[in-house]
Amino acid sequence: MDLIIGGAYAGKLTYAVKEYGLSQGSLFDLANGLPAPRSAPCCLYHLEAFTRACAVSSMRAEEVAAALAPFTDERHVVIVSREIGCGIVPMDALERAYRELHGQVLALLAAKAARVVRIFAGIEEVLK
Amino acid sequence: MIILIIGGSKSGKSHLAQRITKALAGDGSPVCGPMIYWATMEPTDGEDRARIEKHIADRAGWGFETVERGRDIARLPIPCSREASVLFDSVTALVTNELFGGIGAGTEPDAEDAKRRSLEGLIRLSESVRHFVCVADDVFRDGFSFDGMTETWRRALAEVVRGFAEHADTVLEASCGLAKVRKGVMTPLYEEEK
Repeated sequence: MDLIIGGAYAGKLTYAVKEYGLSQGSLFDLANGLPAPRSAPCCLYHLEAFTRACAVSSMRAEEVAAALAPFTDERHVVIVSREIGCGIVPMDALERAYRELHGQVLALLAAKAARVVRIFAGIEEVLK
Repeated sequence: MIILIIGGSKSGKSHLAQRITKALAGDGSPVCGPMIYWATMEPTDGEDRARIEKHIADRAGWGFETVERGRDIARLPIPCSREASVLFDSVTALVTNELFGGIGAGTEPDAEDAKRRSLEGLIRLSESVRHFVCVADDVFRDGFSFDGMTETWRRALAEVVRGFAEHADTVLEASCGLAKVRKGVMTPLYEEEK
């Protein structure tokens, strides 16, 4: 699995589509939950929406990573996620838990990924 | 040269832009070509006016002439010579003005039009002068979901920044007054006298 991170609207999905030659039908918005596992190349984006739902359900990072494993264990999968940790850590307990969980999940995925790229204003930076 | 500097608030990006503009305008010689500080903020309160005063004090003695124009730069005549080195501060304010300036309360802004006008204006201006240095705010790595209007603005700004990053020779990320090169090569920096 390859991982692409970056700020909101930085051009992450545009980059993924171009870099991996993905068709519209192979892009899955995780705000709609996990799709069925696929054997063809595909991209799961808005990981931050998925981890938010997981935070609401009080899941731990390892549980989230296990739920994503059918995808993240595969070489043909690209995961796209916003970075969300560069604002002020909020007072609200759920908001704090969300940032904590998202950061831990990204670290687990990055450790597992073959390649990690950060997109800044549409420009790639290879982190791994 | 066309240079875009992106950074968080108080990352020192305006000051960095000043040093780069002055170095480019001088081309290594002590006599500088004309330098323009292009101010874009349309102040709405005392806090805005105080921020403007701070920027004016910060560039006193640097030799900049000031142009104040916060929108419509795609259409209006450009009020400086082709030889000018322009510091444009900022892309953020330009997009804000193009999006919300002149519309009444309760009116939905036209984001597509605002983005097009902003980007076309920046490209036109940058191609009309000798050196063009502009700054933009990095407001994209926060975890909050914002109300519709704020998110419309954030998205418009991001897309204009991306579009102009493609056009620019050099893209820098500013942090504590230092620059990390994201595209192109590092530019010369004017060394201030201590």
